[in-house]
Amino acid sequence: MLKIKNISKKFNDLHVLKNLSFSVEQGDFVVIMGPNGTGKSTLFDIISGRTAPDQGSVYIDGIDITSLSEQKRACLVARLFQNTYLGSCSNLTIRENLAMATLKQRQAGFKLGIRSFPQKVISDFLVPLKLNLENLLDVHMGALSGGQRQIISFIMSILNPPKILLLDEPTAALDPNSATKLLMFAKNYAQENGIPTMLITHDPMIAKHLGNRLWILEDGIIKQEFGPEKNTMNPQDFFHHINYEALC
Amino acid sequence: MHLEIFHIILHVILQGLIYSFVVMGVYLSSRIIRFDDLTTEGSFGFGGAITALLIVSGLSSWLTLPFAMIGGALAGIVTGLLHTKMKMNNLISGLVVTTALFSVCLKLAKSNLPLPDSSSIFVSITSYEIPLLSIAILGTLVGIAYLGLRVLLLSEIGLILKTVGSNPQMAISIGKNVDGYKILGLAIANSLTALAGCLFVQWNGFFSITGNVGTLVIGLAGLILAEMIKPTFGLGLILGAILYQAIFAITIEFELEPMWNNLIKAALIVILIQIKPNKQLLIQR
Repeated sequence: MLKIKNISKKFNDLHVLKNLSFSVEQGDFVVIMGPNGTGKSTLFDIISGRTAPDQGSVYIDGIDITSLSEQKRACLVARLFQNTYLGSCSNLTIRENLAMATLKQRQAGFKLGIRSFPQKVISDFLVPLKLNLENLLDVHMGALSGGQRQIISFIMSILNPPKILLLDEPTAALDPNSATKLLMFAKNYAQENGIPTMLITHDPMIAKHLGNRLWILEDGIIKQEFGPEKNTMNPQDFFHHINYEALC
Repeated sequence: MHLEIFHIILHVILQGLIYSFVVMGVYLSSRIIRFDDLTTEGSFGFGGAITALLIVSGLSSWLTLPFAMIGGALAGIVTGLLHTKMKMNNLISGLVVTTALFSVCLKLAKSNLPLPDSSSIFVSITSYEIPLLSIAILGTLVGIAYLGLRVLLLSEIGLILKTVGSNPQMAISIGKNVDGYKILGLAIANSLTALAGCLFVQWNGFFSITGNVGTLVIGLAGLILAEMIKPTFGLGLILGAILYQAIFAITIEFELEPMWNNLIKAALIVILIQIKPNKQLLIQR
């Protein structure tokens, strides 16, 4: 599904990513950990098209998308940010935001914006979540809690199912309950729909329970890798001897 | 005396209705796409110069309205292109276009260009009944523009314009061209401002190269008053423009020389910002 080939990225003299190559297949849930400044978010920036690599290529389903802009990759790559305000528009209501998310694969027109609101979101996502969000549809996003905003942002990002899902520390600003709810929701969605997902986190407990693959990114390379295809130990085994402090 | 006050009130309403197009334009640029657009000053004059030239050339005064709007839209597009494609700061790009338009206006309509008699859509400003007719004409035009803007802002395109202003990353995440929408917003905003310039020239009966000085301040002051009436989009945009003209008319009672007019306009906006409840937002932006 996603293939990264010999990606390198430098910011002035800082070599953030060094000749990085990997592939992520359908059903994979890759958890990426590593100290700050090791290129985790830069890697996501390159996959989503926000930043161009100095060299190397990005492939999705075998097609080279390296030269595709972030805007044009939007229907292939969905990304949830650490900043809970980035995934939605604060001065629009939940209903307007969800309606707008349906415009990902078509042109916007002069039709009344909220007419595009996808009614099935209520029964498919909002009611099962039991967060009472179905009764807050006409509340502005800016008035919601960070956790509620991230949930809505996540639903917006998957309304048109992407080819790959990037979760960039989405729970860093959330309380433990909201974080668990969001991550379980994301994991279940990814599993049920077979969407390859990559998650950046500094929380070893999240890493321990979520992924089927775990990478430790350090100095611009994948220093350690745990997962089935490497024929090494499971990510869970990694935590028996890991020094948590070194990762956080 | 009563008749004089009545005429002053009519004059205030007329001027307010003309400048309400500017207030709507400034609202779209500064509050929806969040672009501090200095093109306003230039596109107001440009709309006026196009109008004067076309009327003198024999074109129907009504037909000058769409031409002025197209001129304003082009000015907005150039500002947008300078900002998005040449990566110029929004203030600088607007300033560059306004400066350039000064020369264009001089070329089109010289420093002064009187309109032939009875050539404006307002026909005449001298008799008692006609100002009421002018208000009716202007009120209709303002109503059309207001409804058009309302429909736009509630539409799918409007949702994206709001998102481009408040969270461009979100607009990119749903695959929308942020630069394109910024340019669209600037084009619409400046077409409204140029329409105000067109009507201003037709109301006065002549074009003056200095007629646009202070337009942005009037637009901003009207917007601040509008937000005091109602913080979101609404008829306050029109009422704010009229209210500002009313406040300005009161200052005329001090019988200062006309050369102090712009100083008074500048002072008024400072006072309005100080008493605006959420002034912090305005200053920070």
